[in-house]
Amino acid sequence: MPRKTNYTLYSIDSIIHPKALLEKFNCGNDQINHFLKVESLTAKSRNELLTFVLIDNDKKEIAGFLSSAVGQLDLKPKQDNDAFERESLSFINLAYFAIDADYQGKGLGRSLFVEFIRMCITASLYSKVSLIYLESVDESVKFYHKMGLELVNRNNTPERQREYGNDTSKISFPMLVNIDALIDNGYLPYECNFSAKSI
Amino acid sequence: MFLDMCILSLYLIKEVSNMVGVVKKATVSFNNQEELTDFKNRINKVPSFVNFKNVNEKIRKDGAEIDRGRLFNAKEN
Repeated sequence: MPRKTNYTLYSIDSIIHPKALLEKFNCGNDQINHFLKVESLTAKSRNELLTFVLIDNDKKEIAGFLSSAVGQLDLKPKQDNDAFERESLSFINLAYFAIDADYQGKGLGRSLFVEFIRMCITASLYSKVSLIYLESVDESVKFYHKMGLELVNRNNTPERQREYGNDTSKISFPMLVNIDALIDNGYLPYECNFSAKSI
Repeated sequence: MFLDMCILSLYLIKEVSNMVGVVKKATVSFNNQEELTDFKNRINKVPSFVNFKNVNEKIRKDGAEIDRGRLFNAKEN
C-alpha cells in the first residue's frame, strides 16, 4: 500500500502569494503552464474562470489544478427545420485540468477529477446546470472516457484524425456527460451540504 | 463624426463582449431528430465500465485522497 499523501484543494483566490507557488508548476504542456502562471491571475481570467490548485501539503507545492466556467450548449438542426426540437442546456466547462509532471502516473488526476465531478453534482443540485463539458487534448481523451465522458462527435477520435494524417496536438476533442448520469452511476455530492436527518 | 461613430461602435462591442464573455458557448448540429435522440441517449448514461465504487477503491489504493480546504465551510464525517 503506497504511503498516503496529504493533498488539499484551494481556490487560487485564497492563496496570499500565489506567484512563487505557481512558478514551479510544470505539467509538460507550455500553453497550460502559461495559463496557470500568467493568465489565471489576471482580472479577466478571474472574472471568467474559477481556478483551484491542488497543494501537496508535505512538499508545499502545486501538484495539479483545474479551472472551470459556466456555459451553454445549443442543440440545433444543420438546416432550418421547424419540426426539430431546439434546446439549450447549461453546463460546467472544465476549461483547464492538469497534473504536474512529478505527480503524473500516481492516480492523482483521477482523484482530482472525482473532486471536480462532486463539485459539479453539488452545483447541479442548486442550479439548472445539467452537463459537464470540456474540450480535451488528444492524449487525455481516453482518460476522460474512463471517467464517464463521451465525445460530442463519436467519429471524431484522435485515432481517426491520425488516420487522416492530421496533427492531433492542434485539435481539441469536445466531450461531455449528463450530471444526472454520474449520480445514477454512484457519484455523490458533498454530504455536508445537506442535513443528516430527513424531515 | 465617422471616427466618433467607429469609436462608439468599438466601445459597445467591447462592453457587450465583456457581458457575454463569462459564458462559454458550444453548439452541436444534427441532420434530423433521430440523430439528436441518439446523441441524448449517449450523453445521458455513462459507459458500463465506469463505476464509482471502483474509482473510489483505486483512489484509496493510490493514496491520493484530497481534502477540500476552504472550498466549503463544513467537513464530511
